[in-house]
Amino acid sequence: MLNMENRTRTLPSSCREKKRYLIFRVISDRKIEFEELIKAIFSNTINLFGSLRFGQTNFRFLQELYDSKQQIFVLKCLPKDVELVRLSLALIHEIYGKKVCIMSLGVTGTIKSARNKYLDSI
Amino acid sequence: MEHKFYDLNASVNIENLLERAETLGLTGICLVMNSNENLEEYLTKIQELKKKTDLDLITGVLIQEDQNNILKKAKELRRKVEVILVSGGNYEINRLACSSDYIDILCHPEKGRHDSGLDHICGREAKIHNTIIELNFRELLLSKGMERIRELNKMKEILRLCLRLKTKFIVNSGAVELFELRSGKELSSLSFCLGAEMYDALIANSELAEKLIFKNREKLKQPLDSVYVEHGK
Repeated sequence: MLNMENRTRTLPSSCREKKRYLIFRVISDRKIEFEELIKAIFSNTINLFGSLRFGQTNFRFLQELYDSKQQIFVLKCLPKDVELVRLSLALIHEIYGKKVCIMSLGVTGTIKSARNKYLDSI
Repeated sequence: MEHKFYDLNASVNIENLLERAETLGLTGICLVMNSNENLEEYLTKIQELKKKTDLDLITGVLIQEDQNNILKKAKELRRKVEVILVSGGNYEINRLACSSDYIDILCHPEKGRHDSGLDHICGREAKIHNTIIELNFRELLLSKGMERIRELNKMKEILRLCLRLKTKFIVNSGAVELFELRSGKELSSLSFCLGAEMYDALIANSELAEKLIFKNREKLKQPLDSVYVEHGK
């Protein structure tokens, strides 16, 4: 009997959906906790997109690329939704009573280039 | 191609604004004062600020006056400041601002209204008289829930009209507090999400603003209206 793992095989690159990585920086007077940031991002984005549109964007928060010191984080989405994600984060001006401004640093096609260009410490 | 982004509507009374604008990557910023404040003090303050920063600081006045006094005020200020903005909202004021050569930018024409505050007549007039229609990011930023949806709807309508009639538009932050200031790309993303082409959205906040300022600065250098001196000849 074959030992089949309960997971699908990795798709060939030609079958995968294209994606973009957006790098953001939080500017604030006081430090924003990781959980607070996540909640604010998701609630604000779902609020602006609606659940259906949000589901279609392949939106992911890349937890392993979060730089707590410089408050830099990376989001993943589809190339056509880059501007929408940028707008939804620009519309956040307060997180749990702390005034914030979330600015986008750039957009990359791979995690590697995101690390090289914007996340030297990780 | 790297764009030089401008924000043509931020209050002059914000502390640390210039540092934040540099952090956000803006090339220039128009520090706007209200028409009822002291102009001399304002101009002195701008001159002092210019020494401290490499940013392109632009002088501007936001006219918040009675409908009958707007043109008078605009004529008075035309040769003193680089950009003249009018606070919209009232249809009569919107129409007046669109059909005047003295006014550069009509701010938030939809403010406090149920509709966009602009019609095809205003749009055409704005195109003829080179008035730029502003979408104010702050109006969206501070609204919540259903109010934000209505605001987006009104902005979409303004933008649709501008694109249809080929009228110029711009997205300004309208910042009154430090944390309300946004970078150029974020401002452009609003017009893109509301239906503009990517190129138009980027141009609106960079080249268009740059051209307006260049043109107005050239005008300020001229000794008299309609007398043009060509420099370097």
